[in-house]
Amino acid sequence: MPVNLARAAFDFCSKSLKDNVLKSYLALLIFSASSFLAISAQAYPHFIGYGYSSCITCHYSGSGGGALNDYGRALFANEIAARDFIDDQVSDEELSERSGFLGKKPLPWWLRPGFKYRGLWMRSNPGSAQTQVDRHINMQTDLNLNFFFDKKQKFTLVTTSTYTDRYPPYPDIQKWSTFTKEYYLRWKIANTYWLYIGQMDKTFGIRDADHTAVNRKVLRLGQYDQSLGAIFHVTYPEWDVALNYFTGNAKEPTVDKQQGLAVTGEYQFIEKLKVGASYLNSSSESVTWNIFALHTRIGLVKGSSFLVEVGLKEKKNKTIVTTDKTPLGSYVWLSSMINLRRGYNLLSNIEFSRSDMNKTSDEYYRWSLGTIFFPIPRTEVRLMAINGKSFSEGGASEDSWMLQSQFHLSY
Amino acid sequence: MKTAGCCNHNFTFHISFIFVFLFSVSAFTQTKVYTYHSIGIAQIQFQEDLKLEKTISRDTDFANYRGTVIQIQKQSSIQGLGFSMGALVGTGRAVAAGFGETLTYTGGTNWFLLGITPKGYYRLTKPISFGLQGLAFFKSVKWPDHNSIEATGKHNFNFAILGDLSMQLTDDIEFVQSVGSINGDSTLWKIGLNYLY
Repeated sequence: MPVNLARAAFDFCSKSLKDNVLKSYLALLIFSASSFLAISAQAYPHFIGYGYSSCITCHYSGSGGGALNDYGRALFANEIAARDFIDDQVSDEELSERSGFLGKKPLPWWLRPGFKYRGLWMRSNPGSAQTQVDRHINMQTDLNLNFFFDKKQKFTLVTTSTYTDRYPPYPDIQKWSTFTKEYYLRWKIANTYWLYIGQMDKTFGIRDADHTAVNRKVLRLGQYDQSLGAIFHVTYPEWDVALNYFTGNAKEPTVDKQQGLAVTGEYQFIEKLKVGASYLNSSSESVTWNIFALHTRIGLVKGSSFLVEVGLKEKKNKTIVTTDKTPLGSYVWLSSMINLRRGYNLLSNIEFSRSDMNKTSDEYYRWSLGTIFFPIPRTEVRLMAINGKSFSEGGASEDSWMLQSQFHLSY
Repeated sequence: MKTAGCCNHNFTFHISFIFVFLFSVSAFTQTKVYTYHSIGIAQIQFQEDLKLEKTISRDTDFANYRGTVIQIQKQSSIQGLGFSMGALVGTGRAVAAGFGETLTYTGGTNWFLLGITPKGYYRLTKPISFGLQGLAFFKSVKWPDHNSIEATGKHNFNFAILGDLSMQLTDDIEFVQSVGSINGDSTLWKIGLNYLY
């Protein structure tokens, strides 16, 4: 029964969206209805455990992710990172002052650069003489250059250039080359109203740093799925909502450009408890996406949190003519971060996805369990064991195992 | 040569030790024991080897099990340490792999389990605790014959040791995630919610 209700709701949305007038009306309706909700997409949404529930506190982007602002840098140094390798005589305030791009040396007010590196070493099928494979991937090598046109940062230009390594995201981009993946103008209309115009991440769901998670890359919300467009973001202490119109990534082939609308919001019921919803409808020449998600973030005690995103996904291949209903899939993402002491945390991510809820279809499960440490300011180390399971009426398959270690550097 | 002071010092030490011991025991026995009950639902997943037989041929395969369990528990904790004992009942679906070398068995069947689950835990903070959970259960499963191949599970009685992380989300609701080894040869997951009362 719940499946049928979900199906009906999705069908209604899809049919309505075929008509432009209804599309606009529905967008307005969703925007209005969700105006009591708030945005959730953040690079580290787990930090609600510290009481930081809004992305704009630490990032230039109200949707989270990307470059840290001065406050975010200071926070990383004086609250998130461990002090074990810091002299006791150095105060947290001193660490904050040192957190700038050039340490304590001040930069001109109109410029804030940043650098982010994320490296991954992984061992697939550990212990297997035949199938064990080791790989190293430079997941992210970004240079941020952020320019302010006035001292109050009313107008800001945010740019991120990235080095592709051996896995360029789009055919037009060469291996071992640099390209600009993110560039947008941020206009702070008022303290509660923000407008972003340019190429940036779409606003949807909980934006965790794991871009391979079930609620990110497979939904075209991954590391390189930024899109040209505009985001109007209303943000209040208890709620915020973002409306995003997008037209596709400038670098991707025209036939793949997804054009559409996304809206996401969150409402803070009590301190450290946010509940939200997101909806996305987009279409290219070959594929139409409808995604809906409910999500919540709960801060348990200082530094510890529990996040959930439950979603429905519908991917329609427009090039195949069929009378069959488009499969309505589902996914669940659960993430727990447990703070052991300052800078040292346990992380557990449990993921589930299914391609069709209405009939027997394969189910995929992944459990990532390990540690996430911030041993010194600007650094992050992750050690994870990942167990994959699947369940299919067509036949059982062996569990998969992977060991991962990650090193992140944020300058 | 021992001095009186030396002997007195040792005596004092012993007396002190006894007093500290008695005080500790007294304090421990006076500390309030928190007892509460829970009823919960969880998803469980594991793998098990299958034995295949057809006339004189024998082979092995494996099957994936997935299902839902209902469990009730009584938990007692004192000064951050706790113990719980629970009973669980569950049902689900199992599917064979069809990876036998000489015999290929495909198909699925339903299963039923009944078991007990003792757990010891340490409360890191008020809402978060780490535990070590035992899981002993009897599993009833009847695999249908396929191409005259008989399949039987390797174990009817199963034992698992699980690491356990509990997070109390509200006053009444607890999220529990458990992972460990079943019968020493595969991984078992148990993920669920408990209602505390």
